[in-house]
Amino acid sequence: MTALLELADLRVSARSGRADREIVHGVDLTVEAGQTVAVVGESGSGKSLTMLAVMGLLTDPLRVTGGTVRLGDRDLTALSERELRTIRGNDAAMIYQDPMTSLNPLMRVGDQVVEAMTAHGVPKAEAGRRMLDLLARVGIPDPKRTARAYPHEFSGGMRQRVMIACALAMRPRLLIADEPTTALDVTIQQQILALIDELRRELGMTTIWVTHDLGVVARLVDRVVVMYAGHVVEDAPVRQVFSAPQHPYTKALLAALPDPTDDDRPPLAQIPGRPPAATDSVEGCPFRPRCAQAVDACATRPALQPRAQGRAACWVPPHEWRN
Amino acid sequence: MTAAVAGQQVPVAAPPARAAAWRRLLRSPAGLVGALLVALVVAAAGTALLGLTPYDPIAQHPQARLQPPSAQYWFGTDQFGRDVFSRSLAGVGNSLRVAVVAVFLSALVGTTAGICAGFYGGRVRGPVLAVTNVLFAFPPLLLALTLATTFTRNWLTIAIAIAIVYVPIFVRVSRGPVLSLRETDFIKAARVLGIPTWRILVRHLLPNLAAIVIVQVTLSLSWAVLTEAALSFLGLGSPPPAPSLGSMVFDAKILAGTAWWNLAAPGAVIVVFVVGLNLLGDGLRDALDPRNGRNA
Repeated sequence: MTALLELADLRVSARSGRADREIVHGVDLTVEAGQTVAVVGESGSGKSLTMLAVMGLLTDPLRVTGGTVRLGDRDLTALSERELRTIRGNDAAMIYQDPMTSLNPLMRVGDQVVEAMTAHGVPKAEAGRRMLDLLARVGIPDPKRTARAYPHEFSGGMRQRVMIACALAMRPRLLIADEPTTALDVTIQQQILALIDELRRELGMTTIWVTHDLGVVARLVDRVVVMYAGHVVEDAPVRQVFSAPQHPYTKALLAALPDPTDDDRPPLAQIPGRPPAATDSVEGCPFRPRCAQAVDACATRPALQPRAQGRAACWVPPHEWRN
Repeated sequence: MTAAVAGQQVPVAAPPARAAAWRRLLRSPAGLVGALLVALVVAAAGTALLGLTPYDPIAQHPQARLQPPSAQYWFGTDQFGRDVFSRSLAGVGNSLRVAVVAVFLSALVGTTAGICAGFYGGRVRGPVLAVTNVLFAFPPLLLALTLATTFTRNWLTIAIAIAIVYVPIFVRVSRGPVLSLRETDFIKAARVLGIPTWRILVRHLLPNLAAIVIVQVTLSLSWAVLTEAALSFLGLGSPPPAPSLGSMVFDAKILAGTAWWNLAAPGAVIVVFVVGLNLLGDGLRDALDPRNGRNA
């Protein structure tokens, strides 16, 4: 297998005054072509920022301050905005969280899908034909008629389907789905997840799911990357993550998933404390203040080391964990 | 809003937003009256510009000086025996031409600058806002006066002078919404899809600004008419003998006690003009307000 996406020591900082405040602290991550990966973490863990950095979509005051992003054989951090534009939507596409506001309210939905193609040089007539196929493919009834509707005539689920049609119009090699179902009803969530997964298989797309809910994507991915406070803390095959987490934070995240069949577990488990704010400078392991396994060694930050079938950034191996 | 699930029919063809806005405009009393008055004024201007006035507005009829309004001379005649009705129509035509060109120019320049200042920030914002603030600091009439005295006087210079005065208003009016639109998800989504920036500005930003700019255009037109009248009242409008509402009022000052129609006619026309545009502007503001529901 060849690596499609390769992040090496990727750093993202926010400019505040004269100083830079680093928010993503050197992410190393390789995604093989055709692989499906989940990036999980709490709000503020840097998962969305990392993905925006991949797409070259960071806006002032945020910017990439170190490392590289390789997509295929190109380093995206070295490209100009113009070159990036030809990659966005074409080689790499992204689906967003909130379909209610992601469509232009004054433009017919069909035109918005067409535009996703004409922007990359597809002739208008051909784009129009492909748009109808795409709308049908993402499960929008009667595309000929509905293409002429405005977004306000659509429900959230339907709008997300349109967004998916826009994102996949150019058959991108990489799809980043950033919490695409968070804003939807639970019943619709499953439909959208299934649709994206189906299209992923069909188009052979490498897919990155960004989510804070491991449960949602557990059955859809090969691999899970856990981020905490701007660091990757664990990166392992999905089975191992669930059966034998190698980082105490992963374990705590799993414990926080509600499981009504398990009577021994408190109904709503929590991780005590809260993640460090970007303004806090943390010495050592960023999870140490909340970690049940913390030892003296944790005062120095552990590097991401091979552990079991993946990688983890923790000094204490699971067999030494208390409880 | 329809909670449509795949497989269900989605009702389409709610009337396009534009048609709905028109209906809302004509249903409100202010909008209806404003639209009618403006239509009247535009018809008058059209008559004059096509040369269909009952008399030549600058032809003098010495045998019929200072006639009161009659069936022959609807608004009477002035001290040179010129038909006041024809002159009023021509004055409207002249004012409207100046106002339309002036507002078109200022809307074009101001909105473009406002969008750029709002969207790009940084290096573009600084200079644009600096120029805007300087222009704002001048009293509009004084600035227009200065420009009108400095350059050759014809209707186009007047229009350009008025345009410069109103540019800052359009910069401000358009920049604010752009600042918030820039951060909306659908603008970000357009960037994610790799749509070129100019297309995002023209196809996604501009239509969402249109309502605000249209209302501002209508209101600015009424101010421009007043400014043009003021300039020509002060003798800096279109040079005589070209009829202009402002200079007609000025010339009629001394006749106010004897031949009142000379003062009343152009005055009344200005009032109708400005009130009509203001009512239309108010009506449009209500009709185009997205909170009134795009699908009403």
